[in-house]
Amino acid sequence: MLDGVELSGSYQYDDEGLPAQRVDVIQSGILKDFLMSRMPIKNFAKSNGHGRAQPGLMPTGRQGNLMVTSSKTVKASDLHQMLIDEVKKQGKPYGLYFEDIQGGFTLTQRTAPQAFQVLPVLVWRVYPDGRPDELVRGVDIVGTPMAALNRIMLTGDKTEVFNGVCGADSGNVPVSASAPAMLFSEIEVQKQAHLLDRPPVLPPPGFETPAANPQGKSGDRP
Amino acid sequence: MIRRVKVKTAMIRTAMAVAFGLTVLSVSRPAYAAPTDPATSDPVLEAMRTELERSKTSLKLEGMAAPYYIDYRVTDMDAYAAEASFGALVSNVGAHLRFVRVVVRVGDYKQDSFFGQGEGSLEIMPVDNDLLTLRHAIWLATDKAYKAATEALSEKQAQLKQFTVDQPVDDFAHAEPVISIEPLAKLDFDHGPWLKMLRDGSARYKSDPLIESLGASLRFSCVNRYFVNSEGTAVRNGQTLYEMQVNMSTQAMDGMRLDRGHSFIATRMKELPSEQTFLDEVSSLLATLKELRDAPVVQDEYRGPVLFSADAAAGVFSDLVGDHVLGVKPDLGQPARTKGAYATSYKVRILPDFISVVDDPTLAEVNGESLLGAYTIDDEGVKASPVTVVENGKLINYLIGRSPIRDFPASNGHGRAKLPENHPGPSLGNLIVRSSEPQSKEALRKKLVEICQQRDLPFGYYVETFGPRLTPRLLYKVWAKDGHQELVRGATFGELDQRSLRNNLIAAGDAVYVDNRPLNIPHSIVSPAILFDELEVKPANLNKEKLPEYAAPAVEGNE
Repeated sequence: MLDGVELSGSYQYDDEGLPAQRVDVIQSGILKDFLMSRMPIKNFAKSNGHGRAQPGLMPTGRQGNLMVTSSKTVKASDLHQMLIDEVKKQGKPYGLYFEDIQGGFTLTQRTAPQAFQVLPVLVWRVYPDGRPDELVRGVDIVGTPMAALNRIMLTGDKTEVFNGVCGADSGNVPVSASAPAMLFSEIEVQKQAHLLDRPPVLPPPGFETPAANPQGKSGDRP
Repeated sequence: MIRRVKVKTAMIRTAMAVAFGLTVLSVSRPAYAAPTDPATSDPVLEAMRTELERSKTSLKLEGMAAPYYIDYRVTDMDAYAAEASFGALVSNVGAHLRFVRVVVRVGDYKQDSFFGQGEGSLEIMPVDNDLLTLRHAIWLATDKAYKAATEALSEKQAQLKQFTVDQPVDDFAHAEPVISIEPLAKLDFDHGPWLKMLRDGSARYKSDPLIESLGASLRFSCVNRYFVNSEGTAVRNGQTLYEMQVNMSTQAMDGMRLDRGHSFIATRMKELPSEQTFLDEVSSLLATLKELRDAPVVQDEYRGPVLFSADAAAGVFSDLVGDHVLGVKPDLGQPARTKGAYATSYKVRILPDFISVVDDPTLAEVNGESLLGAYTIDDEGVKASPVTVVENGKLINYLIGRSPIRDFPASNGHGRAKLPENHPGPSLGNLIVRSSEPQSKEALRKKLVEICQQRDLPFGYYVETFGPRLTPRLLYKVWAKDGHQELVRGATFGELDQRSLRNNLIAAGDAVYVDNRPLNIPHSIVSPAILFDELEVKPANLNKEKLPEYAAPAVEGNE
């Protein structure tokens, strides 16, 4: 439980029968430890209770409840204004506020670039000139973890929980990630790949009459 | 990677695999019901008809041709499957799924869009009978199918430009509209006794410590099929299918893997075996498996007469004839009439002249045994009819759906579909092999021995049952000196092919075996025993796996 929200990555014993442990992976920005199963890696000889797997697969070191905390916080309500201030400072026409994402992934193979992509669903353009925020669509966040995460300026003071499923070598396991809102000085986004499929020729069942179908007969659309 | 899981497609695949073993079962009832007005009583049919009407009148993209033909096929499958192994239940699953498959054809009967992506689209339908939701699924599937069809027609025409086509064959056959609304089928049973049978049956391993696997399973399913098309056809039929299976395996002392199995398949639950019959069958299979384990291995190649029981002969006709008399349209640009070993054999002798073969889906039973391949209307809405495929040894017909092939411009009611996502194609119904000179079992056996004696062979072979891919499971040496038989193992046939069937088949029996086959498309093979004057039997090239390092867990009182 975190702030009254149940965490989906909780367990008493991992899938190799070892007791779960709290692991301080990163302390004050420095990587200190790894999430370990009973398969040792160089300099890390022992499991720290993170050997997890989907039923039927071989456990590997996996995430449980990943929690990000910050020592440089501002009130959540001030973040919007701080974004606008940063936009003005950098002389940009607008900033972006990512409200919700549907997921994301990171390439971790040695042979591929170590890059990540986050797939947002609710993205707002935040203008510095007092115009209201504008909902936009069709952007993905991309980058390399080191470059992107070093651009975190400060965070909010309220932590939110993302309960989800993580898929990796040992299959899908329930995990959680919790973090405060974060203000990035810079982040790279790219246009989403999407097909421009024609909308259906006939109106949906139940909306056949023009009155019931405000967009008119969809086949008439250009 | 964190993501919110999207599992719709995967879930349906899994459910289908579990519940249906990737098999959809359907056999129509052999009677027409009085046509009623289903639009008022069946929301599925009403949704299909409403959307069909809407698509017929207004589905058209600016600058593109309107469809000339549309059909909707809804498959509603309710299935229950359970399996026990070594006396304990290992799975117990039920699933109810509904799909709609839509075909939209652009062009005309001579040349249309039925090619590649233009072969139709599939949507999941809700199993609740909510009219608007049902229509929604059909609406989207139709839209997708229409857009794909317009693209497919251009692709097809572009590809055809590479070939010279001497004898063009129409792409789609005309067919008379059929209206036939039959009652819906329902699955209704008490699980308890059946699960007990599976547990008790698979517990019989206790009689033989060397058994390595013993499983008993059942699959009860009920498939309701709906079909409407823009030519005015409306068909609804339902069928239940009940299957029970037992499979077991062991290893001979030399490591050779040996297995045996039996299926009970019926369209009515009352035709399933009683508990005692089922248990007796398990025991008798265990006994033959034990016998097989102790049987000598075939060491030398043999060329001489071989007698096939009616059961084994059905396997031969299924593989060597059944799969090759389907009038499957060849790939684009190919001049062949059809695919398969008999593609060029039209009006040519393919079997001895005393053999004739008919495929008759209208036949409901033979000698009181119900036939799985019985149906009245096929999956393309065409009325089923008996087709004489081979007459006095000569191939005179192929089984045809609505995709014509050269010299066969119309369907003969054999267009049937496997899974809901497959388009119907030519398929077997009830393939019946008949001999004009039937002989008794004793006469065939006598003849086998006589040939051996004439050719100075110490023994001939008798095949009782086949395993997969025409490898004999129960094979006996029949000794020429006194006619006694001896079980052997580890043999395979060489040259058991269309040529030997044509030239070496010399006699057939008078009693038939009904081989009901539920896999892919339910069908039946009905065949008498057959005698070949010469076939090759040789040692199979089988791996001899090591025996288990230590004994199975001890069974009380059997250590």
